[in-house]
Parts: sequence; structure tokens; C-alpha cells
Amino acid sequence: MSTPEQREIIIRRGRADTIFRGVIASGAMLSLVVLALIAGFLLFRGLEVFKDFGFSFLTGTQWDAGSGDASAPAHFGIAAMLIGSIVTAVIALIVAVPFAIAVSLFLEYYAPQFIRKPLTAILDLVAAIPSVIYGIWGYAILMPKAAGWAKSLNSWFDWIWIFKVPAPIFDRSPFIAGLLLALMVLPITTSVAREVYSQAPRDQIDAAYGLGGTKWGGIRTVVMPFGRSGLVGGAMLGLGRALGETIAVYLVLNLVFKVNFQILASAGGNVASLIATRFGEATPYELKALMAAGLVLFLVTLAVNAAATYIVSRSRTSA
Amino acid sequence: MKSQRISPALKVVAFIAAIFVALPLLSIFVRVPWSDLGHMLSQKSTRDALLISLQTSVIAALLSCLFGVPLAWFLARSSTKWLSVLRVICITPMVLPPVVGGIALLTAFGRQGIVGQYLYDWFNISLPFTRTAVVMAQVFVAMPFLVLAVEAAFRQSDKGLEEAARTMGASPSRVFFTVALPAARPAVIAGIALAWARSLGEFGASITFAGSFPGRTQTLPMAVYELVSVDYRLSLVLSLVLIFISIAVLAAMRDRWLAGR
Amino acid sequence: MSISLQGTIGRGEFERALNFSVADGEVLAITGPNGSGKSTIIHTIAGLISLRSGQLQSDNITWDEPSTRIWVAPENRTCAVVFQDLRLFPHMNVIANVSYGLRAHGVAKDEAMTRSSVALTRVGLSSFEKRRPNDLSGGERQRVALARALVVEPRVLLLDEPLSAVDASSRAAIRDLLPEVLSSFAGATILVTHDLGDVEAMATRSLGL
Repeated sequence: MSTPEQREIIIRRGRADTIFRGVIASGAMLSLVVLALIAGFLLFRGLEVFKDFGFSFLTGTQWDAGSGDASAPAHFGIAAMLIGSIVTAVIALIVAVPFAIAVSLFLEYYAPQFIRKPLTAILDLVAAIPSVIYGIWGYAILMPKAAGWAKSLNSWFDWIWIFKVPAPIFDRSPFIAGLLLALMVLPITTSVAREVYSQAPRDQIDAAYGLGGTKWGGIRTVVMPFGRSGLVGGAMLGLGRALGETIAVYLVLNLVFKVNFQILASAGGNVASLIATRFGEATPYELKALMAAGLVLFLVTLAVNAAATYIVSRSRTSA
Repeated sequence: MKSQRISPALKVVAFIAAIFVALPLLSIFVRVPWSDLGHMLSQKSTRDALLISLQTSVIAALLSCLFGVPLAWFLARSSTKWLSVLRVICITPMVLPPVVGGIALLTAFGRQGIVGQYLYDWFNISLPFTRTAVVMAQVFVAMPFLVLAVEAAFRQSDKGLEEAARTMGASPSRVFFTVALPAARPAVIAGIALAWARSLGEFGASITFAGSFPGRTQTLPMAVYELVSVDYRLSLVLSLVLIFISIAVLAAMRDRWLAGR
Repeated sequence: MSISLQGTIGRGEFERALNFSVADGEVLAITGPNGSGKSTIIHTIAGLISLRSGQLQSDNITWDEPSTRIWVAPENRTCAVVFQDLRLFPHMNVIANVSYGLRAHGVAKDEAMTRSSVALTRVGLSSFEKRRPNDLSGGERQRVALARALVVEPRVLLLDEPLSAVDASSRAAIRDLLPEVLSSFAGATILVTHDLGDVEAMATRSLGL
């Protein structure tokens, strides 16, 4: 191989490589810049509204764009929506987490291969189903049924305050939205729980099993304590998802601008749905308020997710 | 640990859970007005939404691949100290409520947006409420899923092969296209399928950034949302179409999920 | 001198000072126990790790010199490696593996194929072109790796434990083949091994670590 020929090759290759490196670096930088801009701008726009309303933006329940002049000033407060989001998400978790524990323990420790594979497949499949499908299922099929369950709950547990209703209407309640969300967060919570449980020390489980206990005893004394923090992390990831869900919740929940903890009543709140439904015909000022609401939702989900990631990673390293 | 004896209680719960997750799909199948299906699918509004959905989601999936694969490669192989920051930022859209993502896109690319105002002033380009906006929203939401899947594959792939290729005279770009990319191909395909499924079902970001204008930006999920209170049967039919497409996408990935873990 | 190294190599905690050079036609055997840095030498010369200090030169061109920040990327070094774990590309057939280096150097496809066929015939694998590395025996894979290294006509050939991936039954055949191939190779060869039999069969000189 003669030297000049080789040099020529080096030059040609260098140019292609520069382009390649440029494409990769610019792709990465582009995402970085766009996201940084987005976060920054959301903050910038949102702050205007925070300045106008102060803390009452978080504590107020009124959402009124006003008439644009001094006679009917705009009032924006997201307390009802934010608390509504949290209430439905918490209901979702209360329903989904026990299922997630059972399914993940079953898949990891009991299921024979021929059940494990299709069940895992179903869980993966469900993760890719568009949420509008859940929404329409919830609207068409779950809601009529669940309204009946809500009625029974109400008739038996009327003496507990949260199961009271102001009027005998059981449609479009936080309870129903929570059930639907439970279904939607089950896959993510299950897969995190599975991953954590699978790392439980086998020798300890076997030891507990061998000490005359049952397999269930080994799981209860070794696996479940071991996986507790991982499970909390998985549940919080689910919580993050449930907080941000838009269309599915919108279809089965009556948005009412009043803080409501009576979960069977046909009145609830959801920040994401508020934004999606108001966005189209919002006045410029209301738009800013919606952006501020988006910022609050963003910060809440970010905090939840950061906490979840931290808890999950800590449970991994302590293994 | 293998056991033939399964705690009956756990078995029952697991079975209920399996039904629980599969039920929505099955029940929509039952409720769909099968006899009117052909007629409903041939309506203009339906066809429009279907075509827009297919068009935007395919473009979004391809763009996600085009930008996401290099990004994944960068994340997997770069040694810059900003890497962890970069990764967190790339994953943010996954945990961001889609509506917030849509608002964020609007604040960046809207007419008064930080980039958008210059696009409008200098080039007279207005992005929001166009079909381009639909695609952008979908890419924003879907790309991180692809990036994560492909990055994991690059990370696990054999670095030794890449080194060998270098010693044989291959430049980094040649190594990428001839060695690293073929090794990650299953993950890339799975990532594209995942991104496509996400794009297809995307609602929150596109409705805020692109709006729901029939024939222009209205995708299938938006059409379902608009139709639920107007023509409930038609919205079921559209849901059915969405389910079919999602299942087709997932069937393409079946090797991945049937392999178990 | 075709290749000369004078300086300190290192990887992680490990470090070692070295000073050797190899002329064209020579086969330098580097021997030593595990952990003495044999593979590190190969990787340093190939450009997969850099020198800690000192200088690495080939044909009076400096490849690596930390003090002057001179560094030639692995793809621009006129050396070829037979790795201990071979590192054949599993997604390519045998001929594609062998012609990979030629194609990377910009040789036209037809010519690359012809030259690769010749190289494969030289190592006794003329009918294996369309096979995949995973379908081959250890000995056959070793031959592919050898053909792949020689086909680019390197100035320096680096062999890292060339018999370690070969099962006992085909070891004798490879051991017969290697000296034959090396004797017709014009450039410098560095052979890393822990087997003194290899040294005797192939090396013109040896260096113990």
C-alpha cells in the first residue's frame, strides 16, 4: 500500500466522519435545546399568571376568563382541578397496586412458562394501546357498570363521609375515573414490581422455604420486604402517569370547579383535561393561565417521577 | 424456582388481572356495529381522520428513527460529562403529561413562541394548528421510547466488534452503519413500532399544539373524542380501527415480547 | 524499523514500561503469564488504547506520542489484528468479513471480492465464502480471522493468542499453517502467547514479560 494513496483515503474519510459527527451531535443538541427552551418558556409564561394571582392560583377554585374588562375580571384557580387529579390518581393506585403485587409475584414465582409468556405479552401489549381506547371503553362499558357498583357502595357505606353523595347521580365520578386509570397504570406498576421482585435473594427465599415454611411464607418474609421500596417507586411511576392522563379521564369524569372529596359524586377535576378542553377557545390571558396550569402539572409529575426514580434506583443498589 | 403448586388465591387474582387488562379490547369488539361497518368506514370524515392519522404517524415514526437512532448512539457511546443531564432531558417527554408537552411545543414554536416568532417574522412560517404540528407533537411524545430501546441495545452490543472494525480501517461512521446498527437492528425495528403505536394513539400533545380540525389536523383519537357525544357508534368503529392498527404494530414486535424476559 | 515502541503502556491500574522494535520479516513473540499486559500491548499498537508515555512509531511515522499529543486513529494505522476472541462479525458471511477491511479502505467491490477469495484460499477455506462465522468450527473461524487480517496487506500484523480459540483437534493444523503464512508475510509480526511451543514454531525472536 503506497503512502499517497493512503493519505487520499484519510482525507475523504475525514469529511464523511465530520458530517456523521455533526449529524449526531446536532441531533442530540437539538433535543437538548428544544427541551431547555420549552421548560424555560413554560416557566416564563406561567410566571406572569403567578404574579397576577399569587398563591390564589393554587388555592382558588374558580376558573373564569371574565369578560375582558374591569366589570368582570378573570379569576383563575386550579385547586379543584389539581386536587381532583390527585384524588383520581390515588384511587387508581389503591386499586392497581394490590393487583400489580399479585400479578408480579405470580409471574415471577409461581407461573409456569406457558402462562408467564402470554401474560407478559398481554401486559406489554396493553402498554401500547392508545388511551382513547381506554377512554371509550370506560365511557361505553365500564361507566354504566361502575355506576351500579358506586350505588351499592353508597348504600352500604353511606356513613363514611367520602362515600356520601349530594345527589343520587353516580355517573362520571372520580371513583369511575380512578377505576379506569387503575387499569391504565397496571402494566407499568407491574413491570417495575416484577423487576424488583426478581432481584430478591434466591438463597434467602429458599432458606425460608426450607425452614419448614411454605413458598408463600418465603415470599412474605423475604421477597415482599425486599421489594417494598421498589414497589413504592413503581407505584409512583404509575401515579405520574395517572396524573397526566387526559382523554380517558375526560370521557368518564364530570369537570366541576369545586373541590370535592366525595369520590362517588358526579363531580371531579383533572388539570390535563382542563387544559385540553379549554385550550381551543381560550382568550390570550386564559391561555397564559392554562400554561401556568401546565407548569404546575409538569412540576408535580416531575417531582413524583424524580421521587420514583430515586426510590427505584435506591432499591436496586441496596440489593 | 419451579413449582407445580400455585397458591390458588394468587392464581385467581392473576387471572382476574389478565381479564382486567384484556377486557376493554374484547368488549369494544362486541359492541361495534358490524353490519354498518363498511358504510361507516367509507364516510368522508372517517376516511379523513384515518388518512391523517396514518400519514402523520408514519412520518413521525420515521422522523423519530432518523433523529432518535443517532441520539441513542450518542447517549450510548459518548463520554461527555453532560451525558446524564442529556439523558434525563431526552426522557422527560416520557413522563411529561402529553398536554403539557403540547403547551410546551406551542410556547416554543407558536407564533409568539421563542423560536416560532422568528420563524413567522423571517420566513412567514406558522407551525401551530397545521399537519406539521401534528407530526411534531407525535415525534415529541414518541421519540423517547425509541431512543431508550435503541440506546439499551447499543449499550449491550459487543464493543469488541466495533474495535475490530476500527483496526480494519473503518471510520467511526462506517463502524456505525456496518457493525453497530446491524447489531441493534431488532431494537431499532421494535423502537420504530413502539414510536408508531405511540404516535397513532397520541392525543394530548397534538390537540393542544395542532388542534382538532376535521380534514386538516384531526387524527383518529381526536375524532373519537369529538364523536363520543355526537355519534357514539361511529366513535366505536374508529376505536376499532385504532385497535387493529395497534395490534398490527405489536404483532410486528411479537418476537420481542414472546421471547419473554 | 517497521514498528517500535518505547514507553509505558497501561490500562486501569496496570502499567508497564516497554522498549522493543520489530523489523520487516521478523516475528517477535511476546510471552508472559496472565495479567502481564500482553493484550494491552496489542491494543496499544492497534490504537484501541493510548500510551501512558513514550512513543509508538511505524515506518518512521509516529502513531502515538502523548507528550506531543500526536495520535493516529486506529483506522489510519497500517496494522491488522487477529484478536484473541477473533471478533468476526456474526451478521456477515465469511467473504464479507474478509473483504470488510478492503472495502473500508476504499477498494472497489469486485477487486475486494477477488482479493478476499485469494486470501481465503491461502488459509484453506476456499469453499466457505457464503458461510456464517457461527456455523464454523473454532479452527475455521481462526483461519477466517487470519485471512481477514492479511488481506489488507498490513505493514504490521498483531496476533493475540492465535491458538487459544482453537480446539485441540485442529490446533496442529493451524500451527502448521501459521509459520507458512508468516514466512510469506513481508511486514513485521508481533505474536502474543503464553505457549512456548508457539514461540518455537513461529518466532524469530522473543521477549518475556
